[in-house]
Amino acid sequence: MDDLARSELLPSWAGIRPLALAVFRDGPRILVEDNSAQDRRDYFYRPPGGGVEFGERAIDAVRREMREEFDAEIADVRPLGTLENIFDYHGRPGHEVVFVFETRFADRRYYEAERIVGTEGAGIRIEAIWLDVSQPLDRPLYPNGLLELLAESDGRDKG
Amino acid sequence: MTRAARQLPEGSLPSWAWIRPQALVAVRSGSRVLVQDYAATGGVPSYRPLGGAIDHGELAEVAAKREIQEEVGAEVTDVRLLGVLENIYSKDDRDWHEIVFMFEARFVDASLEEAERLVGVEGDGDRIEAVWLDVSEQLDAPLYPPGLLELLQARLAAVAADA
Repeated sequence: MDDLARSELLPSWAGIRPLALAVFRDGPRILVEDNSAQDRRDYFYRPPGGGVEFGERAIDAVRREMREEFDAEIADVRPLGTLENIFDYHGRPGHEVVFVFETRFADRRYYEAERIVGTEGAGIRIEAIWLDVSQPLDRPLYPNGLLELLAESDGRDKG
Repeated sequence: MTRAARQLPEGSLPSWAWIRPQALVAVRSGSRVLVQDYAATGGVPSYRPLGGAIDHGELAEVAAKREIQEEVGAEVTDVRLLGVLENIYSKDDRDWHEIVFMFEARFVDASLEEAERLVGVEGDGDRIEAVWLDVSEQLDAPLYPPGLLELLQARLAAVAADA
């Protein structure tokens, strides 16, 4: 899909991927997916979520993704901000517009699980873990700017 | 599949590829905002700020400044993000989905604030006529994208509170 951006036939904006991600918090921990099963070279963490479809609002996309990935209903969904994630992944330019929402699982049991197993679109198994983001991380957390966004949100809440 | 997605051009692209990320700029002078006056160029009476598509690999703020330069040949400063709007609508018999990074800014050259009308060209060569619209007054035509007026009113209230 990154090749879209380089095709002469398509407009210059083509290939910018809109994403909707869900931040679930539990004290200093947030839920992240671990991509090590799909990519053995570039390990990273990212909150769960996925692509916004044409005609779909980001908040609806995040609810749909959580149903699809974890068969989970979410509550108290609120927008934290929008990040522009421009990167290079194995030599291919990537550009995402990332709508970040804070939310919580309606079912408390998700917070007690050590690992939450789900499936991505094509039936790929995904695993999500609770990561303590107050500690130094052993691999990058994407999208860039996420922790700053969470800190800003905490600052606002404390007034 | 959503109703909107059925209206997309035929092809093998995934539906999201038709979502357009836009950078629009409400160039502001007090409560007046520079907007395209579509009625002046033969369109349906309505207003929308200047700006356009974000290029792949380009930050929204960079796109915002570039678009103003291209459209009216002027430089802006004090660029500030007011919010991000999801604009999903139908027009000209098809459906559109934009993600709008809505900025405000002011012209470096303050004399442009005195101009009654600014004339420029759009990327596709269409003529642009822009006017200063006072958003503290009742508008005589819709201001797009939806949600912009509320963002501007909130910004004006914050500016007034700081003063």
